[in-house]
Amino acid sequence: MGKVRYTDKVSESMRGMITPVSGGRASIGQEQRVAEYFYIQTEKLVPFANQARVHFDEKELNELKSSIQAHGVIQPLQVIKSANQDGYYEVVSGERRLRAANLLNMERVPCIIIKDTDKKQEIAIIENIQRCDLHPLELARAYADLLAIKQTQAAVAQALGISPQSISETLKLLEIPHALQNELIEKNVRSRDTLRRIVKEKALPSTLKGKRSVLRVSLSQDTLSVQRTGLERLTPHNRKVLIDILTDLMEELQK
Amino acid sequence: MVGLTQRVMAQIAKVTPPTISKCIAQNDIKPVDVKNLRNMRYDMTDVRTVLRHCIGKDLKIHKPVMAFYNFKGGVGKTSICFQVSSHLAMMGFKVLVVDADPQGHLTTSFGLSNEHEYLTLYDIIEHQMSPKEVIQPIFEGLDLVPSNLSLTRIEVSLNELPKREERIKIAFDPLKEDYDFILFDTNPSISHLNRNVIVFSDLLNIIVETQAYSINGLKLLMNDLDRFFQSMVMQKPEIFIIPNRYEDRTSTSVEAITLLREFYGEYMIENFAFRKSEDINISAKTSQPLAVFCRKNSIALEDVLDVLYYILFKTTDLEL
Repeated sequence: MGKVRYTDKVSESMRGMITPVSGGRASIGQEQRVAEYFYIQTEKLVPFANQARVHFDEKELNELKSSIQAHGVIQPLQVIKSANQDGYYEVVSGERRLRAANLLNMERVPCIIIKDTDKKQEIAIIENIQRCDLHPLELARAYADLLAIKQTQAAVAQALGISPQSISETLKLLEIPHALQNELIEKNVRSRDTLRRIVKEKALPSTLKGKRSVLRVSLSQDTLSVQRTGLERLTPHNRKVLIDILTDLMEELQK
Repeated sequence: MVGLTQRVMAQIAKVTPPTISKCIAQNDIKPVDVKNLRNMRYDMTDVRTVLRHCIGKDLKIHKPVMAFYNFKGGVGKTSICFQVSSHLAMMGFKVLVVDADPQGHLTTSFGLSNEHEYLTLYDIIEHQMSPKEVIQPIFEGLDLVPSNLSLTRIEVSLNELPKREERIKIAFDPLKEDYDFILFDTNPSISHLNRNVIVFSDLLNIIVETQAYSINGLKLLMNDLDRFFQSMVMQKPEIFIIPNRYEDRTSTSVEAITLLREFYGEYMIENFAFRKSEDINISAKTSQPLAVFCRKNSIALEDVLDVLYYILFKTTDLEL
């Protein structure tokens, strides 16, 4: 052996020839199995007009940003050709990824171009609904958009695989005045009971103005659970008062 | 086809000439041409007996199907496929080699015409003919499925068939019982035909020239292979990269082999490249495998043997 020799002076031009790439379009035999994705300039990407998400959490966005910085955009964005801006694409799903990519000054991101533009609205809405972190009011607005397409609540329920009761209950939240809705989304008030009360009173309940809970005991299906949400923040005086109240309570319970 | 001399047999089997002559005496084998006493040649059937005996009769073959592959043309796929298949047969293995290139140069290498008088892979796929009806015998132990331009029509047939990436596998799987090795020479493209070949293969011998375009093509090829087998949800075959037409005196060749080692060293024989040699060209011109005509110290035969033994190491339980 030893038939070849090596050099430590490899020219950059020759090195560029062999350096591996990833991605690109599918070749023969893959076209029906691989969705085509394209690297599209970020400046050509605009948010989808009917984006369900209103509130973008800054902390989460920063987390996504560092993940993209480390690994790149792993999942392609879903985009459609913009109807009113020639050469632009609307991001149906992946606006957070786009925002993070913009923060990183990335030139291009991988995108899947959805051809069936009739369904774009549905795709965007369903894409956003099928995740847990949407605020109930954002969800209600998305349901309303979908209702406009699907006509009946039953059809919406079927498309999403959710019970019709749950749909109508969520839609009822839209009776809250719009300004108040935004405030609730901003403050991340998402308790079902509270929101229902606000629907009735059409105003922020007094509980949300200055009052806060410190200790909460609840019974659910024979299981007692204790939430101690504000215990740490009690002043020394209030701690003593709470101990007195609890001692009384214990005496009462032991009777 | 004329036979081999004892000296070349010893070189192929990697044993000393006395070992060969002992084996010949034991088996009572007579040379073909008794007039030329200095360079007696032995018939291919006897060569196979002797070489198989020396290399090991009981080798277990676990990867019988291989392809010579690259979508870059003119890198030497056919030349190396011709040498590997004919020398494997001389070693005593039962070999079927399939010409899957419509240009049919492997077919002409074996001395058959590529001008439309033989049936081809097309007839096996489109007309469901048994491969046995299409096969042409070359010499004992070596059979060929010939090719000619009609094979280009196979793309249309494949496109319309169900399981269109697996037609060759379906047609050729039963032949694994009759042959030790099935080899495919491919056409330089990414076609359904080539997809069929690589789906069926256990080992892909990727021939790459030690030049800029070729190493650039290799980058695309490796990426494409990854994606293809991923989308087929199949395990990728074993890969053996064979750098070809290496010239020690040109700096581009040296740069290319340096980069190949850096990026794909795990798929290559260490410190090996198939060196550029006139013997390979003569072999193509005369339709004769190297061992039949080459002189002592032929670097081409030396390189063919390195490739052969590495392939045997990858596909059988032979140890290097």
